[in-house]
Amino acid sequence: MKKTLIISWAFLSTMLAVAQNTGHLGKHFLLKTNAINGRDLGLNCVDIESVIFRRYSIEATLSRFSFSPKEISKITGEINPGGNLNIKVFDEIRTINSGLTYGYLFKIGLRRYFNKIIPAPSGLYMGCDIGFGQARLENYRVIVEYENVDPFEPFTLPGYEINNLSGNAFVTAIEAPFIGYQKLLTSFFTIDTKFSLLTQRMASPSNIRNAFPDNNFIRSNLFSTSGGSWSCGPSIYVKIGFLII
Amino acid sequence: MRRIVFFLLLLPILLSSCSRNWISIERNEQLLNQDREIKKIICIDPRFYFEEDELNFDLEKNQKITQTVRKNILKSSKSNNFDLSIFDFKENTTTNFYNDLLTLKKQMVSVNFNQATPLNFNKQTTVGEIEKKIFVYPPKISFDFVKLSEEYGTPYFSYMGIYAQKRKLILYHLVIDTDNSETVYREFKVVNSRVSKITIAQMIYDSYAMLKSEFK
Repeated sequence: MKKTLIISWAFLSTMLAVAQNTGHLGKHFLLKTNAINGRDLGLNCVDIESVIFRRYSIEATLSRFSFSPKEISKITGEINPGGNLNIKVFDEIRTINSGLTYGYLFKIGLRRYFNKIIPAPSGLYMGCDIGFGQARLENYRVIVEYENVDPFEPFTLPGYEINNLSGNAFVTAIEAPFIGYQKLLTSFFTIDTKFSLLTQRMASPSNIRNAFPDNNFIRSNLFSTSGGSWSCGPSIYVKIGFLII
Repeated sequence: MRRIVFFLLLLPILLSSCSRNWISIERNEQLLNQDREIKKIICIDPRFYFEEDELNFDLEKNQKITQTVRKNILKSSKSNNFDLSIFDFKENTTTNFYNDLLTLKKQMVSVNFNQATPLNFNKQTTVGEIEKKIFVYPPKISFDFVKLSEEYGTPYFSYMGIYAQKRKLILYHLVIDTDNSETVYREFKVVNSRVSKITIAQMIYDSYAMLKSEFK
């Protein structure tokens, strides 16, 4: 804790020393929170932006996220109760649903403002963020069903459910590129609108992966597409900020 | 996909080129001398002018923004550790103001306009850039004002004016050294923006921050 405080203080002092001639009326630090973001609605994010040069600023974001999975079914195997390997009788279909994923993501990034004449932090900007975090997957349910695919052997095989699957996962994220516009409403309030492409990697925990061998149910945000443990999609943020120091 | 990537790579260049703002700063080489550091400044009659035709001219609005400019000059100079006093028609109006300060203001503005030697203006300012130059031939005022430094406790006198056109704000900042009778700092800043308190405050603060940065 002591070390963290010393490192934070050293970081803030360095930023202030570097940024003496920049910022809005000598203020370099902005504290922001989300009004809208790409994952869901609500005040679930805290940002600190620090102007370091006339056109550049760095930002640190701590955001909380939660989502329910997309219901996804997958053929995970073939069953032949008769033992004849040449004839497929059943398809094993696994469906994952009704779980909840929540966690936090810590991101750091660099912004470059386009206007050199009016110094940062106002105007149009572009940049990138990288981050990591932790996610908790809770109460996932996997339904296993068998579908008869052989019309000459009209058997049925009862399915089963695997309930209460939980576990932790490590999340890495890249938000690049992003483009946005920050406007100073008064000397203290800012509004920041940002569009970005969020790419996130999150592998499901081993117990969930054993029950459902795919990560496609994991999303990075509302409009993302998944492939393996990666998910990617556009994000929109509207943030309200306060110039503090 | 290739087109999108190409567009994203091209976007910063396109957006940078959209900016029509620029700053030109010219300063005297004496500012590099630590002994000549500017600490106290007398700002003479700062003004805001709104370029508008006679029918649309709003005197009340003009005076209100002039007050905002005055407040921002005091605030920004204080934040940048300048001891600045404003002398204008409303406060400290004595015979000296009319005889000395207004004459000095008139002269500093006119010499900077009339002594536009090609030695100082050898290069056009690029749009979107901040250009800093050192005067080859600093515009000189009359030696009649040498005595003012004793009276006001500083040889540095300045004038700041903001001129608003449609969607354009122009800041003009001059600092004169009466001991040497030379212009020591001249800034010309053009920002494409409507008249807004925040933009004016930013422009003025930035001007003093840049003046301060000359001594580092």
